Amino acid sequence: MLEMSELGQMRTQLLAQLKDSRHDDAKKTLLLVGIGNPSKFKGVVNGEEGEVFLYDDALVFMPRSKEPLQLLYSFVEGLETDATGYHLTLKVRGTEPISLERFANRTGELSDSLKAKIGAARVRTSAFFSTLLPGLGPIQVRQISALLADGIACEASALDSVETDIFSTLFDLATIEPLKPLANKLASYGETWLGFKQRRSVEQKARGGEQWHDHTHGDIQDHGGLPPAPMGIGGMMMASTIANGPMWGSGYGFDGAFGERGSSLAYEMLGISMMGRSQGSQGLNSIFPGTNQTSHEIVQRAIPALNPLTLAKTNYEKLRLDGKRPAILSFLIVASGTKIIYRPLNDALDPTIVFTGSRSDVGAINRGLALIDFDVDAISDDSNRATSRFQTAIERISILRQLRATYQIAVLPSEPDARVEEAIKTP
Amino acid sequence: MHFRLFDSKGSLVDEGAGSVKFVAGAIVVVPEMGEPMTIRPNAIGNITEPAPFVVGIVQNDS
Repeated sequence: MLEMSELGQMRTQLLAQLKDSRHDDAKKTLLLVGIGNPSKFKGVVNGEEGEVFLYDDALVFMPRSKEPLQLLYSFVEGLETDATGYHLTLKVRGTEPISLERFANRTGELSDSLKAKIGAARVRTSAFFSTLLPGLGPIQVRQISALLADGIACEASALDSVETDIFSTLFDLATIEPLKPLANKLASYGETWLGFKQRRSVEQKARGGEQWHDHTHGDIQDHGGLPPAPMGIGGMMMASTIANGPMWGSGYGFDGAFGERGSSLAYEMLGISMMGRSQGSQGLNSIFPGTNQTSHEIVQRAIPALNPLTLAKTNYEKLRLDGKRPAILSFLIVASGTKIIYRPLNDALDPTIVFTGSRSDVGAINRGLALIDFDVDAISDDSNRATSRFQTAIERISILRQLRATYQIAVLPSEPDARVEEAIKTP
Repeated sequence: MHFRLFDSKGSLVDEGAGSVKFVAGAIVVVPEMGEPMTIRPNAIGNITEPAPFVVGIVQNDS
């Protein structure tokens, strides 16, 4: 243990930085789920004090010392508030309810924010399937969206009960061309599940609308007064001229008659010579030595491009399966005897993973994969304790340890398919 | 800043004056004399307040 005292005013800053760095690091090293920028709330979850982070797709609770709690909104079945209004209960598919309390005057905000985020996640899923399957009616799209909620795989027969052959249609749309032969072969090994998981945020922040500034011109000393008057006789002459016009005759100063060169001094003061562009030395400088005025041409006022205001919005068109970094991951799960196969369908770089388990374990493996954000490298990583970048996650995340315990083999698409077949046949 | 470092059995290992800073997300205690000590965020088990205005960092392995 390290104790630090006599920190003075740095103590508050240190504690805040410690908290932030722990969270930033935990997100990376513990393979925590969550996309987008989270809203933070401090309170008690399942009796543990800590911080709740509401991401676009998941709730992450970081207790002070224990294992973080992660919950994808797609697993939430309901949110209840007790009579006091200060105790929330989240009903979750497949696990015990989650209790949230002691959020003080932010309880209402937390509840509203949770409802809004859960709703928004469902809208994104619905929008994705609505675009992917434009020929289907709203009722079928709604049913499919419910079955294929974010990160949850659905069995082929359940999908086909909504619309005939919809599984094969979705399977075809979800699989990129180079992986089609492999995916078809894997699907032939047993019962199949298909799933989709959003991996990148499509929420766009508000932009623009900042204070207008003419970037084409330097700062103008508006209301800043005249340049400093020179010392001595020059300064006296300048002051006198501004008040009355030049000593050797009126008409050049501000008091000049309208239309009789009365405005020339004003132009001179702005640095614009009335005596020609190249005659700066004959302008104000010649009248007031030391003012260092330089003449220039009158130019058209610049029309600066205004920075347009863009409101915060959800970019539904970015919810795609194709492209270099698709926002949606599509995956296949196959249950074949005592083996479960996981295969990403639109990522040719990730391996096919074979787990030991029966049909009834598909849900648990699916949930585990969703909670490590489908980062399968963490499952197959066999580097030693000192060099493994997943060591902390393995030590602290029980679901990852369970996945690693059932993991059998990882086969890259570039490797022979026979290795997967061999693994399936191995008892 | 004054620091006191204890081992997993609670014995005092080092004590003295120094400074504290954050380097690439890790907290680094730099004693006035001696080697700095870097604690990565994932090595922090708990943050406590053993006495008023004292910050305690319990490491995972301590």
